[in-house]
Amino acid sequence: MNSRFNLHHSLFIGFCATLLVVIKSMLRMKLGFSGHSMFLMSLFYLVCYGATNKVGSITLCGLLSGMLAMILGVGKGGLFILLKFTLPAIAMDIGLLFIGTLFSLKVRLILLALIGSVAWALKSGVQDFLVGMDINIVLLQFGINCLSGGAFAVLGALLVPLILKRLDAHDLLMKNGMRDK
Amino acid sequence: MIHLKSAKRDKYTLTDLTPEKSTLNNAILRSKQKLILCSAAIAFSIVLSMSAFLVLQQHLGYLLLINTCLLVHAWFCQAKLAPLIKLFIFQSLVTIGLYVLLYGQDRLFEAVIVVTRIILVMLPSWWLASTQSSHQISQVLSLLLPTKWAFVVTTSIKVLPFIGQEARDIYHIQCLRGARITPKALMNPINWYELVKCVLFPLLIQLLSLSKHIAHSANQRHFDKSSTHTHWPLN
Repeated sequence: MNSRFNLHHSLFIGFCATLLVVIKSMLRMKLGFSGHSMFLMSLFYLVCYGATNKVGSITLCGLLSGMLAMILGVGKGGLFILLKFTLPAIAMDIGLLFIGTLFSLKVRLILLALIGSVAWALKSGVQDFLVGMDINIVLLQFGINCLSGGAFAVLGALLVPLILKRLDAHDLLMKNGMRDK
Repeated sequence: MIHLKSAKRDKYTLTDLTPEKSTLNNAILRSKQKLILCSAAIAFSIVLSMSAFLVLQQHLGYLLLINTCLLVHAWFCQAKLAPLIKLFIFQSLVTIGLYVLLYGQDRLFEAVIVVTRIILVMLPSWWLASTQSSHQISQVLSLLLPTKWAFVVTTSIKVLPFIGQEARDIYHIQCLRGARITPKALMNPINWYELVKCVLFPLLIQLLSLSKHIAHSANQRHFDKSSTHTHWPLN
């Protein structure tokens, strides 16, 4: 893992991952429908990116969330929960490499959230395809997951600039943290 | 006289420490055995999950048999069956429903096979989570992680009760302030944004400030400055 992150960054990423896993497990009990997990994932992953402003922070948050979910036995547990958290995070980080500083913060966050939701839907699609599901049904489910996950992810991404503004107001953003201009 | 005293003390120390040492050695041995067992269980569950994807349809019966054994083992370990049953019902409804919707009754058997495979993919992970303790899984993970990240994972788990307490406090204070976040008000989805704004935002601010303090105090104690690290307990 990356040593560019100091202990302060690392701990904040760890706490965000913990909060993500705990809230996700609580919501699963209450609501029980898929797609809402992308709201929490995009919210916490993008807060980590905004607070540290470093490529790799999203992947780290995803990896830690997966590990914590494995340790705490959230969801179905095991390797698949690790993949579920990590794959959208890796996709968002790869997207970030291309997007960089091209757009305004809000547009960039929305684009990253959409990339994450496509990766999330792709993961379930590939899984369904591998177990031998019919290709038409796989595509149909992929489309539904993309739409529902994308809508939730964009909602989460829209909250991030507000959170960053609050963190900045409390003087908690590190010197390289992202400020909404 | 002094010599006699010291001899006596030595004798006392030796007789007193020997059983303690042996129990400590036994505990270390048991901890190592559990660690090996847990690593083997993780590897086994991964292989079993992967084979549910790859195995041919005629050999699916063997896999089903192994998974039934796991189910019985988890049942004896008093695992909660509810998440597995919920997953089974949800998957069956969605997949079989879609097959019936698109192809009618013709390909119902294929849909049943797909649902079975999905359950077989998930069951080993559920078995692992319900039979192995979180302490052992985190011990295995700490073997793979660098020290700093093992510290981060451990701190995150340890700080969990604090996060819960903090969230509860913030929620109650905001309720007293008159925020529309009581369970009755939350029946209306319009008020969900208020919940995020009044509880999640202050909680994130608290967490960022907490991480700043923990990092500061760890650095003050020369964390990560030395090449050798001490671990507790028993590894």
